[in-house]
Amino acid sequence: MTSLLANLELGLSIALTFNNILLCLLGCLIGTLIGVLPGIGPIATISILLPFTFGIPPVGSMIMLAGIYYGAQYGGSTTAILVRMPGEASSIVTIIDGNAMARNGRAGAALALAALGSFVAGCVATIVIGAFAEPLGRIALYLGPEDYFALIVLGLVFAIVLAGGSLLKAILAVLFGIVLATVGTDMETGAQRLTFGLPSLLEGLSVSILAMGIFGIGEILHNVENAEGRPVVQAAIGRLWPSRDELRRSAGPVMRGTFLGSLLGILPGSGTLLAPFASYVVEKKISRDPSRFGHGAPEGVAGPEAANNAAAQTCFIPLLSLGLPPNAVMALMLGAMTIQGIVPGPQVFTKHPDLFWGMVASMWVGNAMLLVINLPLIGLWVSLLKVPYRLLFPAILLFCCIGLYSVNRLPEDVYFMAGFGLVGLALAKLGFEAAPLLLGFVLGDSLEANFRRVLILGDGDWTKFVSSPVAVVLLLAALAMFCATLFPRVRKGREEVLVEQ
Amino acid sequence: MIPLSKSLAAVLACVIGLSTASAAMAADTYPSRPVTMIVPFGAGGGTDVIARTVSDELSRALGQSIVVEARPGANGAIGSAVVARAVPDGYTLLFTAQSTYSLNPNLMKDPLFDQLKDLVPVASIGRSPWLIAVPMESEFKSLADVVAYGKANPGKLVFPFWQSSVLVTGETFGRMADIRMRKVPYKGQVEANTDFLGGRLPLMVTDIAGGRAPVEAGKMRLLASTTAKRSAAFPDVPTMREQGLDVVTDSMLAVFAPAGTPQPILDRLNQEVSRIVLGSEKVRDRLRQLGLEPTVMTQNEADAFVRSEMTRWEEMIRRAGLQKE
Repeated sequence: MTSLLANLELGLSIALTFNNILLCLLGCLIGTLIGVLPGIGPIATISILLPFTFGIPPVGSMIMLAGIYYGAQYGGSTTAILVRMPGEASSIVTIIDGNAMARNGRAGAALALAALGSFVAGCVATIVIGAFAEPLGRIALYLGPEDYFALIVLGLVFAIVLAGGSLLKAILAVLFGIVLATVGTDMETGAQRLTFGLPSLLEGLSVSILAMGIFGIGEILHNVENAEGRPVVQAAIGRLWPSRDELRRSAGPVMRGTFLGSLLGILPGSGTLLAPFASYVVEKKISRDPSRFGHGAPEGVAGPEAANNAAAQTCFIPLLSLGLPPNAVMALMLGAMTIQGIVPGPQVFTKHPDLFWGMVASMWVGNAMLLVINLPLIGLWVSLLKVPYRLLFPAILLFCCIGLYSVNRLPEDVYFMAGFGLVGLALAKLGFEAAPLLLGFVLGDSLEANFRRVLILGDGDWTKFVSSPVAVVLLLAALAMFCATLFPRVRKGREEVLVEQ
Repeated sequence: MIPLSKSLAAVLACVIGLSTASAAMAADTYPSRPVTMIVPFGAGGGTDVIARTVSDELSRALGQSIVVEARPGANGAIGSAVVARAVPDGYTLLFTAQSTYSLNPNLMKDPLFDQLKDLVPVASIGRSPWLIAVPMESEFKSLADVVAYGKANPGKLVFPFWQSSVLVTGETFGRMADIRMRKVPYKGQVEANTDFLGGRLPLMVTDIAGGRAPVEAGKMRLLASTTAKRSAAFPDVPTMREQGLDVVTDSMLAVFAPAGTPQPILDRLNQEVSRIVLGSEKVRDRLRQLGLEPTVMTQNEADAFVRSEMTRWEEMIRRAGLQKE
């Protein structure tokens, strides 16, 4: 404990130098901005800014890049709550209750809860990294493909449970998402799957194309078509701050979301994206009155927002302790460290304690800054709701196109987004929900990869899927949850509760 | 009629004269405006980072700014095609890895352009070896141990791969050593490293950038490199050839221009790039950090290299049993 305190003191002494505070602020500002802007996410931003960080000392550049990443998690929820457009893929879940709150005139409260939840989660996750980075990092090594396969199956069951409406449609949406994930080049044989001979599909669809098309464009088409039920409610914006009751309700979800996010963030692949979904499902399951979910329950905003922010920070653990980045953004950070002459891995703790603890401490500083940046902005964001929809939607469309095009400079990306906008509209008209589809898409890749890996490593032995206790527990949990959803009485209740308006 | 054809001929002669003159002039004044350097992979990746460092120095040498543009997609084929179709005036260049010029043309059923006809190499930058690695606690102490085990237990050994060159390296090693190995697909080296360090993979093919961290942490032992000569980063690791196996599958970073780019411009660029690769401390450092060994060739050597590598990889890919897609 004393060594932890001493280390944090060392970290703070580095994070609180003038230059590093400035870099942290810069990272947080950029992160908030790109989080709010749909299409352009932390991956694109960090890769564009990477070459400019080579001149900055390693600690400073890592502090700034990290700030961009967790800052984006704060900003991503803003558009999700206000206009049903996920600024980042990790804020998809926030749409469900966040936007419902906005429609109830609680947009300010939803934004404040998201920011406060993220802040608490960020602070706790920082301590988790500082105290448990080394032992937690090893978890990622002990889990094999069969464990990941089971975890993903559980995640897909979450997607079904989370959806409202028809159970069959929820399952179909998940399956459609998985099919979309198979688009591209087969990783083993190199065969082209569902690419229709288009070179731009050889590497598959990106989640931002899908999320912006189905959620963003699809939603806009839907709203333009029927003037009723627009997500932007111009009347009654209501009190800007959360009420005492809303704060009280959110405390538990934030703590549980932080715990889930911290744990899932460490896992490679889709941990950061899975965390908010897991938090939402848990909150709904343990809630005494699940009927409020989908209609603006503050728990459904605070929990997932805490979870995605905690995960965005703990995903640094495998990078720093093992040199194994769990997602694309961390892979870029690995590149940045390599260029700076730092070899990520267990030796970072001993060889570069200033870098490790400086970065950890800067996360505290950064989270405090983000709270200060975001809370005053709430009034400004909410006033955006007063902009007439006929002016707002072309602006959103424009931002989507520019944001997406700027990432790869492929006009095809914009066409695909438009195409998926039509798909989104069709799905909405047919009563399918987008969230399970997107989760199916996000997890589909790892589902297939781990499935094949288990069988190849086990030389075709199917019992390998249940060869580890972790896998067995996760698969049983998935089965139990699925059966509970199938059970008629529960299902009837579920349909009543979850139908979105 | 006669005057017309005469004047036509005069005009033609003028045009031809002008165009050759303008080409010569273009080469004299090159570069008179900013040059675009296209990297066919994601921004922030290893190739992009090196391209930016080299371009930085190159722009200083040429006295013109160079805009580095990442145009990822289709394993580098999209960005390469952009350059293949660009005007051959030296203002659009390609900074790419061997996978796009030796593997893609042999793996794609419908390549977006003709590598040998539409692009011409300008200069080489550096090569990155593949290394055969086993976990530190492995009973395999040498490549011979791996081969002996593989012979005694056909199909027991399994190696991970995440791109065609890794697959070809593994398969060629298996074929040369006459052992049968299974292969597991991964998304990238990081995922493969996770299972390797978790003890689920008996051996793997790694590059220097991916292997340095586990080697320094004492978790990975290197048994062989696939270069013709030993790698400067790991001089203690013997090559495959030293151990009696003819496996050379290293990857060379190189700069290309659209075919038809005036020779004087190609020569000028080759000179400057080669000087930078050998002379610039910064470029050498960055290459070393990312596991590449600086390598320079003249423009003719580079051209011959690209052509011979094309047939060499075609052969290896065919033998490895990879289908064109």
